[in-house]
Amino acid sequence: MEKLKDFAKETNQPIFEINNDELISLSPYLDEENDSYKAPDDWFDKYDLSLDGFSGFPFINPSEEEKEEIIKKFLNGIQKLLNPESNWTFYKPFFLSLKHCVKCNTCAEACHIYVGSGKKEIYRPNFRSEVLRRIYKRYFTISGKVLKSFVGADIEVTYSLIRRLLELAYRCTLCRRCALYCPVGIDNGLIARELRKLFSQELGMAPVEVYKKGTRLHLQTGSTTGMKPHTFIDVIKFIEEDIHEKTGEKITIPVDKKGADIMLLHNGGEYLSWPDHIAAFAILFDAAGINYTLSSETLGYDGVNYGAWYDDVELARVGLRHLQIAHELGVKKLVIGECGHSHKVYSVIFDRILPASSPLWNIQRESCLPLMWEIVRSGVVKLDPMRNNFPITFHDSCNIVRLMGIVSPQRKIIKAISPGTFREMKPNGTYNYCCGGGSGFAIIRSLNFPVFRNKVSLRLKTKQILDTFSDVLNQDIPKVVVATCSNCKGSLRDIMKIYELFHKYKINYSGLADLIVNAITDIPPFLNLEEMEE
Amino acid sequence: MESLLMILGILSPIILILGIAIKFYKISKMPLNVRWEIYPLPHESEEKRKYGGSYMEELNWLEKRPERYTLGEYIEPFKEILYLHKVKKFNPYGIWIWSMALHWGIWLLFLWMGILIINSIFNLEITSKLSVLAYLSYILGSLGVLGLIVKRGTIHDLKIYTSPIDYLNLLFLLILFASGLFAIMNKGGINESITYLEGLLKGNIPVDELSLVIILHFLIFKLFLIYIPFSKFFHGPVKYMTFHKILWDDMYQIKGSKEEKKISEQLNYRVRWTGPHILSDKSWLENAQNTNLHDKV
Repeated sequence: MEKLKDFAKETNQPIFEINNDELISLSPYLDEENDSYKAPDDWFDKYDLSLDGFSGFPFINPSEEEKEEIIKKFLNGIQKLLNPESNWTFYKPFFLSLKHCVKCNTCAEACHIYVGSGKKEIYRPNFRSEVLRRIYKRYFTISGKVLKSFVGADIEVTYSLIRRLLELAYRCTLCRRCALYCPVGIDNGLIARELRKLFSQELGMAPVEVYKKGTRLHLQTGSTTGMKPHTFIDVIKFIEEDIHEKTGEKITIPVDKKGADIMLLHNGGEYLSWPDHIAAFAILFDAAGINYTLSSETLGYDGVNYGAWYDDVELARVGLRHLQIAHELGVKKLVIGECGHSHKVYSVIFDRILPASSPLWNIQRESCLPLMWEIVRSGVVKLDPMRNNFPITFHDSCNIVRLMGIVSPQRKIIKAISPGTFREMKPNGTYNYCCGGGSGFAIIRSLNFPVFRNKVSLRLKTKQILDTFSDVLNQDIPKVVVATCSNCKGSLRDIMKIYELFHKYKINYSGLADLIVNAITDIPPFLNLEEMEE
Repeated sequence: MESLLMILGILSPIILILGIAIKFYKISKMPLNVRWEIYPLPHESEEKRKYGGSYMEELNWLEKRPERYTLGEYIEPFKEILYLHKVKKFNPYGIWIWSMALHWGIWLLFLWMGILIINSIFNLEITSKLSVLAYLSYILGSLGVLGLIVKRGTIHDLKIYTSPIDYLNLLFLLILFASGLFAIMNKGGINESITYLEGLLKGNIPVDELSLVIILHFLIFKLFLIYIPFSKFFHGPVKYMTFHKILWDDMYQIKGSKEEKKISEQLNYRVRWTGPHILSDKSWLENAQNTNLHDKV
């Protein structure tokens, strides 16, 4: 791309294409064919693939009149982002990030998508921000209106530009690694989120999986999976039976127990995709004598909050309901299960969504990780580290480490329950790379968005995993990537499957609770690493 | 001419300070954003600071008072101010050395001006001994600017993000440093600088006794001071807000605090957004409580 204003070019053809041989190499671990993906020809007329040949939005192209309306609404949306009342939640960080970037591009190589793609310009963390900055200058500042391209106010808003920006807002996983790199404290990850917010809150445009089948379904049925309360109860019974079958233990999973110390909030997807993970928590908490409960109230059993990725109003609605449920149960504490964004929403963001005098605010909101470390550390549950005698690495959830500073408990746990087989990825902790599935990437299935995710977004994490196990790759022993986030596990599952890491190298993945329970001496080993959970 | 130089001499530092103060005041009056910190945080305890840990790693953290190393927040920025350590560590375009030269040129320029003022007030006669600082400032600054102009103009990844105003800003700095260099390289340049500052402090700049380049240099310096709060040069002071008040702001709410009051007020702001799921004329609180809402359309 020669100039940023080329981004507004009127064409239904992609402004660039991704070629396999330009992507970051996975050699020598994997042999990949060089044939590049191309969307079906008829899609180019039917849908808008004009960014990079991919799309997660199966919208039919609008009429000219509708396009005019979209342009008007888009500019209104920017005005609302710049209004301290309609955007009080993020006005300050957004405004400062919009105004004060010095365009040194120090952030570039922080981004796993930019690096994974072979450094394609439009995926640079600063690219979409700079497009928005130029629009802001052009339409909302006097200097931009008068001096235009002299001050960088050279981008005219067209429908094509808006449509590409919509896609581009979903080419960033909001991991905010770029913000960590910035010497001025500019947050390009936030700008991507604010763009998503503008599209949702003003134009009603968001991926169907995060809006219609996401927060809407969550608020209406109780879960983004569509699981209603009576189904949840059935699933709990099934899990109890499964625990009995596997361990011989008869455990009653507490549901709606008034006055329990803790309400445990799992990611709702776990109940259907990884019920063993729910079982692991049940076994661990039962063995440790934790006085906790789950909730069968609508929403009370699904702790996700997709609003965190795209919409402040939906974020507040889902979160408020979760806290109301905890309050009605009379618990002292809401403990967040292994779900990264949910961790951040309740422990960090919700700190300022309600005033401290509200009884809802006064329910303590904590990560499950310090509690799990306390269980392991205290010795209340007998654990045999030799049960976990295989190479283990840990994938950090960005939300939990970089955006919350919970780095140590999970590492202490793994070190305590394995016989020195833990190895760190490089980089790790607060400088980790996103799994590639954050901020909705793991669940967006529309059109060919998953092809983009798998080819580009998951790529750097795939390389990192292979690098981490490079010395034991060819040994016929299981290797495990542990993650404390449901979204991350979804990405790991896709990585293992698409890049055949399990098939070729016996690399598997697991939640942390599962790994702890695998070490409990009183019951048979919990993990089956010879198979991969689909 | 004398009057203009006098007025600018008095007004430029006032505009600089007032400009920054007003901008800071405006930013501080912005709504209290939701917490949006990023780790590691420099005010954490030594152990946690090393790996980016937080008080949220502790069980029942709300019942404990987080251990804080407040000084850390004031030491950390110096890594960037004096060494540009993030640019050094992460920037892939080799701009660090030029950027360092430019920034040190500016720091030394302020230091040199400070020395000139002190010298004039206390009649210390220290300037000739310390004039090396002026040479360093002007040479480093000029080289830094030139390097950055070349980098921005020749590296595609920087070029497409650079507007004419950015080059103009750099050119402005180049004129500032180069004029300074020419001024002090002139015979008696250092003494003329002292004469200029003494004149300014006494309210009578002896223009006739000074070379044109000295007058020009001080004029550009005054314009530079005025320009800082209203230009990209404000990226320096604004870091206090982006880091201390946003990215390092991890403190949870306290009952009865001014933050709590602010949040209560903000919840009553009108939402205004018009998306299909939003009640535009209702407040944030009313929207948040409306959990059974179906799409308007």
